[in-house]
Amino acid sequence: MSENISIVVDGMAEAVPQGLSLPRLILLHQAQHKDLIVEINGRFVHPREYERVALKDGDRVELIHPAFGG
Amino acid sequence: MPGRYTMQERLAGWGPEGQARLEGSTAVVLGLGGLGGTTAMLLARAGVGRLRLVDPDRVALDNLHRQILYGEADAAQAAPKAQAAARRLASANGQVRLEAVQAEFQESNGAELLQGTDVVLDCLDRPQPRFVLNELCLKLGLPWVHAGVVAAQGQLLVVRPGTTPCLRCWFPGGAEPSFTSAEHGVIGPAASVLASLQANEALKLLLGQDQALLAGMLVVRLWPPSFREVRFHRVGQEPCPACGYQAKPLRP
Repeated sequence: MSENISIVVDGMAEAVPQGLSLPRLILLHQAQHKDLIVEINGRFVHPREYERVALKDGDRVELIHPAFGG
Repeated sequence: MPGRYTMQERLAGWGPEGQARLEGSTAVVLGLGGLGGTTAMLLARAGVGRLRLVDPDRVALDNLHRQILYGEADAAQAAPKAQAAARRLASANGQVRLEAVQAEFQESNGAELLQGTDVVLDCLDRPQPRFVLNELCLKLGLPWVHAGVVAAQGQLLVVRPGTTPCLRCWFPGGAEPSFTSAEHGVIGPAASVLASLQANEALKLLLGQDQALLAGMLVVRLWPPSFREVRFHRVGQEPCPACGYQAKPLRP
């Protein structure tokens, strides 16, 4: 049985399954836009890296939808 | 008796020398809406010598809650924004040379619109021309300050070709209109906060205060409020198709 870990997404604590992939988290948050900016623990994550990222307990994730209006 | 610029000249790193430098500088403001109007006003009041004001649109009533350069008379007359902005800025600082250009920034006229400038303020209202600007500034080696706003949030980025990541580095997949003011609205305080930050970075560029520049991407949310600086990270990545990672690593 997989254990849950605790992460913070956009400032809100959230329990997710251990080893949850970043693409899965993005999907769960319905944030799958091509201009999405993902930040984990203060660092920008390039889209090519998404598949390689497994979330760890205590990670702070920001899913940022850029604003292109003026 | 204190002069027009005395109070800002007192800032460490500014001084009369910095002020003279500003007065000899040119900035282009692309887009004169909620961002561009405030940015242009701050640069004009600070004494940037020459401002080129570029926007194809006319003032409308639904602009007035956030576009502080314009009044009800401008909306009633559907005044061109570039000309209305120039009139307003001239009344704030008659020493600034103002060039009003009623045109849409695009690939075909971009180089002409940016001619002779020291810095570009990206206050455009959709993604596509911002990427055109990115390519053009890389080609011309021009520093520029990107700002965008929707609803109660936005982001800010300083791009210095050859030194920092470019817009394409941050958005390798390009951009799509997934989060728009047409759907989510936009509020005046958000536009003004982003514009103030943007003008601030442009002034640093013009003053040569590179060590004080924003290094990452500043993500501003106002509802509830937070300011976050995201640092660029490019371990194991292929070169950026636009700038080819001319960028040196940012401070960790």
